[in-house]
Amino acid sequence: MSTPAGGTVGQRRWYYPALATPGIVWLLLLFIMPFYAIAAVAFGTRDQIFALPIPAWNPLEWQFETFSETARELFASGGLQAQFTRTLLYVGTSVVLCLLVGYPVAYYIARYGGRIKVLLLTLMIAPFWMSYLMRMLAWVNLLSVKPDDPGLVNRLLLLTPFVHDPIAWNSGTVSNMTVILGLVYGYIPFFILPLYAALDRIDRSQLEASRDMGASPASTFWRVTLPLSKQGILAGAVIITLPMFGDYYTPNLMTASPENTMIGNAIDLALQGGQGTQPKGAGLTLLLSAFIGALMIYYLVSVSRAAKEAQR
Amino acid sequence: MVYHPRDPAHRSVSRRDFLRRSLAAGVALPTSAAILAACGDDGEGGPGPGGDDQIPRFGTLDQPVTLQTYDDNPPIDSNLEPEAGPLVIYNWEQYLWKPVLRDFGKKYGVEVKYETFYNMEQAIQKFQSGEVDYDVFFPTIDYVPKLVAGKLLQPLNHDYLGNTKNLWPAMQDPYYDLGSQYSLPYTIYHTGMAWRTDIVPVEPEELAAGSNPYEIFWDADLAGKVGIYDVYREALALGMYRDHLNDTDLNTSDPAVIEAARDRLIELNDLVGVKTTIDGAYAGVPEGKFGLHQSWSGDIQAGPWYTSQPRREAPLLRYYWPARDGFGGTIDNDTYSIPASAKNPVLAHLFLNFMMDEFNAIKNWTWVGYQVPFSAVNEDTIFEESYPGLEGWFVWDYAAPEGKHWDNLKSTIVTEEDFDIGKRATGLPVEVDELWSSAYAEFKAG
Repeated sequence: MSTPAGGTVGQRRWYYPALATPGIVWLLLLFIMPFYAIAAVAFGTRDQIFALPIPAWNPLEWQFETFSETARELFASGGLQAQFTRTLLYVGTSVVLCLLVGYPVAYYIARYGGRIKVLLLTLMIAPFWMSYLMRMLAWVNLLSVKPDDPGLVNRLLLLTPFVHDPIAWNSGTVSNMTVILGLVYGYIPFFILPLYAALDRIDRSQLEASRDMGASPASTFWRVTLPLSKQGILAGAVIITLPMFGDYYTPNLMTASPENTMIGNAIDLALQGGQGTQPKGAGLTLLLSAFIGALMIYYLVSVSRAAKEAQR
Repeated sequence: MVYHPRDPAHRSVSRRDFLRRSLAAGVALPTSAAILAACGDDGEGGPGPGGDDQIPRFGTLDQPVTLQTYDDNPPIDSNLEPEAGPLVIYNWEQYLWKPVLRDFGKKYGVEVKYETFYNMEQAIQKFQSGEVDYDVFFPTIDYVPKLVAGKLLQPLNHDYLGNTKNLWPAMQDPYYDLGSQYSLPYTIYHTGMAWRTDIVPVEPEELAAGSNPYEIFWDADLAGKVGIYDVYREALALGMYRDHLNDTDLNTSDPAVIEAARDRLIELNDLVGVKTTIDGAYAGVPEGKFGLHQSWSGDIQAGPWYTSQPRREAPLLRYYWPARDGFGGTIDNDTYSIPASAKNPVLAHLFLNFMMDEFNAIKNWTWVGYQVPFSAVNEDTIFEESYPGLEGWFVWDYAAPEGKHWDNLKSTIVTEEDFDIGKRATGLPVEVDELWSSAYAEFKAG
């Protein structure tokens, strides 16, 4: 039995840390445990009859043969490496395009949205009330070339003097653009929203100060607005990069071509019920997580550095 | 196919899609020739008894197998009273028509439940966990020997299965399970090619008259218009047929042959930018998104339903199965079986016998879209006149002129003779299977 005073001290000691419990439980149940299960499959064995994975829950029993083979394949030329390089290219290009398209939108809404800011944001997000699948399928139909119908996009392009024949969006070099279009279209609102929040937070007096000091509007943008919105750009990039690296359904839906498969497709192929290929899929998942983890560390370091600078 | 083609609400993912996904095995470890040599060319387990009981016996047409039986896994006794149920069916999504289940429930006064799995691995993991009490299960034939070796199926007592006499004779004693000890055939289909003549202006007769119908896929003029199934065995088989026609060995363990097939697919990709799809045959070709697609007979049979203007576009559809002209082609069937852990094994036997009744099986076929192997089913009785009591119920009747069928899709009907000439893809030992799946993964990496 504790004294009333001791009880108060105990309450104080545990009250605030206890608030973290739901988050910790959530993290344990939905991140740490599944992640450990993936590792147990990646480093486990397979049964002899069905070739189904037997997870090795005890780290002392882990076998690294399959995993190191997968890692080697990722760094050897061909196969997985081609898919990984393609993934980097697709994700990189998509992020740059999201920035080029998304920044002006976020900037306009934050600076000039005025009283209709909320309306503009809502309108921008409105198409995304529909499922991702439906939106991709809509693009497939807009781009598909049929015997008596070149597709809506081609019909528009044929009106211009630059295009004379319908473009086959799902084959050749163009198919890469098609997948990138799908990625940008699918993820751009998740880039714009954090960026908008960052731009909206910029204190206008800082911009006015820049102008008062004689900076031109362009100079103010480059030397004040852009640096101040860097964290928003990074946050938006992180939010869209993470799911893009694991994406496999966008290339599947947009072109269904081996020329456009990403690393997510390799994981999908290994995990979707192949006979005995799940450990390899799990290994690839770990390798991809490690790569994304490295990117995240860069992001966190950059955020903390920015926070320190802000305190100065 | 698992939707009902007449029902727009079910135009989602088909049962064949699930099958495709389940078969679309991915990347695997490179395996050495030494492992292969250890496996032997015939795979593991020969005909008849013998060998290690826990090793799956994969039969081939040349070497049919009797699956092993176990003293601790006997069939049920004869003349037992059926249990009270409910009977639990464990199947691919939308791979059995609910009204047929209701008919069974009404006949025996029991409740019938229908539960679904996403792929074979998921189903097997559930069985292994021992937490399930399914009474009827639908394995693919490559999994039957494995399920038997894992003691997850119980032997059938044929005293309850008098209706199996309705099956085609060849189906009563299949090479993968001689005597149908553990399984009965469900649906049948062959793998051919489907196309639209407005994109690919070729008639089946022209392909038959040529020297190699499979070459049509490798036609650079069709760039962007060609698709194959996203199923490793089917895709690589296409590469093999291209080179070896009727000499193709669908169950080969020869790395050189498998790699050559992979290279053929890579070449196909370079030439036409081939697509790997799950819906290209039954939807893509009819919609005009594809000019040519590898196709299961049952997929394109439902094609008219997917055209935007059936009267104009359905007559453009063609299906060709090269085996009929000696070029080689794949034919296959799915199965029913009863899990060892079934809570209602007598009822399950009665259900299988019920589905072996011609009328019930054909009624189910009108909705599932995949054909059943019964003596009453042949081109004339079904395609010309339809089955008595089920006139106008069939998929291919959709929007056909004057209630007639589409003549151009008549070749999609699988006949008993087709099983004499078609090649069968059987289960493979794990190491060989890895060779196939890693070759496919390399092609898919682009």
